Amino acid sequence: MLETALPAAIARVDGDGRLIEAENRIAEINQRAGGSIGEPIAVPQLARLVRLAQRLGIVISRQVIAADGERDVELWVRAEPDGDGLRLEVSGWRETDDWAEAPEHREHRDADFLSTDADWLWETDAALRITSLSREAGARFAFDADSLLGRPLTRLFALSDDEEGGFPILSALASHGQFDGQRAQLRDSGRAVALAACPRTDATGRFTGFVGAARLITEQAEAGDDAPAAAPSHVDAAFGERLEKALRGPLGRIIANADSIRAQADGPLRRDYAGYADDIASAGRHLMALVEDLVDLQAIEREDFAVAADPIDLADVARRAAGLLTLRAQQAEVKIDSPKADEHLPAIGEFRRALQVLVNLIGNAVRYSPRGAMVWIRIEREGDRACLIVADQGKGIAKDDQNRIFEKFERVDTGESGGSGLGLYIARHLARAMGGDIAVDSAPGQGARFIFTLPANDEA
Amino acid sequence: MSGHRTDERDAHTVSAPTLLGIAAAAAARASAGQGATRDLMLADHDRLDEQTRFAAHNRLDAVIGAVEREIRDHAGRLLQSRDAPALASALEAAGEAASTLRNSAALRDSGLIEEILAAVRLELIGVALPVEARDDADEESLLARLVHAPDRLVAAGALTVLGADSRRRAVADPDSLSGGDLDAEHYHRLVWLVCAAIRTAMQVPQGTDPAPADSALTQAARRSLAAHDEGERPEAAAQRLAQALAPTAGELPALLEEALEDRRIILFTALLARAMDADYDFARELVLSPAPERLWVALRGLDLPRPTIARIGYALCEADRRHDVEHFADMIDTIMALPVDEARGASLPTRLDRDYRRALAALGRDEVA
Repeated sequence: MLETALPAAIARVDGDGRLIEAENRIAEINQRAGGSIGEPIAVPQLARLVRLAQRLGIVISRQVIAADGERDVELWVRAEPDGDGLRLEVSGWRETDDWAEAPEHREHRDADFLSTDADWLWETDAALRITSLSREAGARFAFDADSLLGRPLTRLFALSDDEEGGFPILSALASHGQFDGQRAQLRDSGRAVALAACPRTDATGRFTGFVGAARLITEQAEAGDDAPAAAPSHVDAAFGERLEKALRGPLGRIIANADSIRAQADGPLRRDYAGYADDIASAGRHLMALVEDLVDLQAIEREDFAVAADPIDLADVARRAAGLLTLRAQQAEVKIDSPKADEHLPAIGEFRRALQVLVNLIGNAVRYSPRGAMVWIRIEREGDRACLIVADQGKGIAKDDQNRIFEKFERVDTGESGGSGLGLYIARHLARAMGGDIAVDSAPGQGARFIFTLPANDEA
Repeated sequence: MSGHRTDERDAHTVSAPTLLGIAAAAAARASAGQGATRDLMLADHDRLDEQTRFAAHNRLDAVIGAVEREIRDHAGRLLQSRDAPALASALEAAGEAASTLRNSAALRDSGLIEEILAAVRLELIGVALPVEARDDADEESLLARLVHAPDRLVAAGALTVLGADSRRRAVADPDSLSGGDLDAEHYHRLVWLVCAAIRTAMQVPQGTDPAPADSALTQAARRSLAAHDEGERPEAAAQRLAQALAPTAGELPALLEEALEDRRIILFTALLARAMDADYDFARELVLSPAPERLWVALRGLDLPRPTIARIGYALCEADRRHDVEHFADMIDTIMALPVDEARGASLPTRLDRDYRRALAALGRDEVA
């Protein structure tokens, strides 16, 4: 199971708001804010929450963003009155961008994303009892929505395993992540459906239910498991390109303008308006990334998707990809050790696509590396394969998750807010289209090694 | 400087209707000017936030649109079947009732806008409520549990609330919304207003008897009114469930808390109304009041335990950006120090019948309402 965040750290506070004892991470962040054991809590957001829980006398759970040195971290805090004092449980500890979207936006966005491809939507509580299902959907798809409300999800759908014997919904339940492609049958009619869902969590990351989508699988699509349901038409390809062209410009303007409104570049604004602008900018960025991913997704899933087979130097591609990520690495205080200028690794592939794969792999390595860490890029030749290895010192990926992360809408870290969860899925598709592959080798706590292989070019 | 703008209308060829149009536009601009003055003088806390404004606009348009479609379709069919094609085309050509109604005093005075604003505001608060996972991950949510209640009325009530909420949630797709979302009284007023707006917009050809148009519209309106079932609304369903549950003083705190934890704000409001022996609109007014003290006093009047009042207050302060949770925390000891009888007494005069309160308010006795 993949952890969504670091495990909780515990602290105790006395009736006067003084820190009596604290596990390392809380003690450290408190110390960096100028506090110490026996003194009032020094991190303002935590102190405020503690005071609130003490005055109200109830458990308060909240996500807060607190400064830790020069970075901002997102903390999931649960303050529980206990005798005279209070027990503080802090998990999360994820670093955030200053434009990171609020969790409630994440929830809406995920649901919006689901509904684009859905015949109908459903919701459940944590016990997987159906809490929302519209009568109109029932009328259209031949089930009695009213009689299913409050019943287990499995009364509506009979779940079946996928080709590998897996149940995506079960893995999602275990990791509180999203799932996609869960095969099922409508019990009332026996019609085949594919299910996808996003989890809903409370302020401390605990699972409270699914917001899900169902899509009927037509017989034609079922018969064509090996081939796409319908032959991709030129209209599709052209549509993808038009979509990108049509959306990129306007979205760019929306983001830029919203950013300058937020920064109050043209003068002071009422605070909630600056807040709206912030929402607009982050939603815009999300849309932009989504457009890019969807255009790629559409391209690689087409039957006639082809890549060029050009002679390329994989070491050179890696140096360029690392160059593109220099700024992000500097901000994250991560060093990238790229191949030296005199190192070469001749391979066959398409330069642009190989670059895209490496930007994704190195970008992930930077994102999941702790401060001060190093990302190594190494080249190797193994038989007729040119291998490029991207290794990081992050927290690693458990064996069970190593396949999952290459699936559609999955993330290396399910608690991660940005992106569409399509990056690795697209990267592996691209690598395979070029006759290569991407593999991962990792263990929790040991960092991860992503190995990108392409056919070697012996003629170079 | 070249490019000096000139009036493109030729004074010699302006027709009487054009002139009238210009005059009407000027009058509209003047009235918009008054709007600007009002807007400037409005205090910040009286101002709608953009989210509410947007949601209420959408809901209003959707409700009017749904009523209008139904009436037009049926009246159109009636006119065709009665061999009145000229009137049928006049009906088809008539402009949208929504735009006529939006600027009309009749709609403003119908109470419909207040009703939609209140419903939308409550839902927005509901969506923003903090959710809290149960300690036992396998525990069902409140309504899912009540669906299996041995009491038939409770089980049926819970099912109706889930169904009604599902429908309103599906309103992300505005086409699925209908006038059925309104209570009978407002629906009744709206149907006749829409009818009148369509009729006003129809240009009956000269020499044609307009009577069949009036008759067709009237029949279409009556048909819509007869088919309306206000019991399908989430508000009505929640009130029925609250009545069926008839919680004792011991059961009430947990129910109120759970309803909020599950973001079922309409059910929370219905439970509150029942416990106070007040009507739903009054309880909703309390929940939506910009001065939350009225609600805190009312909760104290129900003799709820301190942790329950604290959890309700915390959740509503988190969900309603007009409220300050720090202020609430400062006040909770004062609230708890109020004698229950006194708190109950203080909320008593405000529990008068809704129509009586409205009448008093209309006569300028705002302080009573």
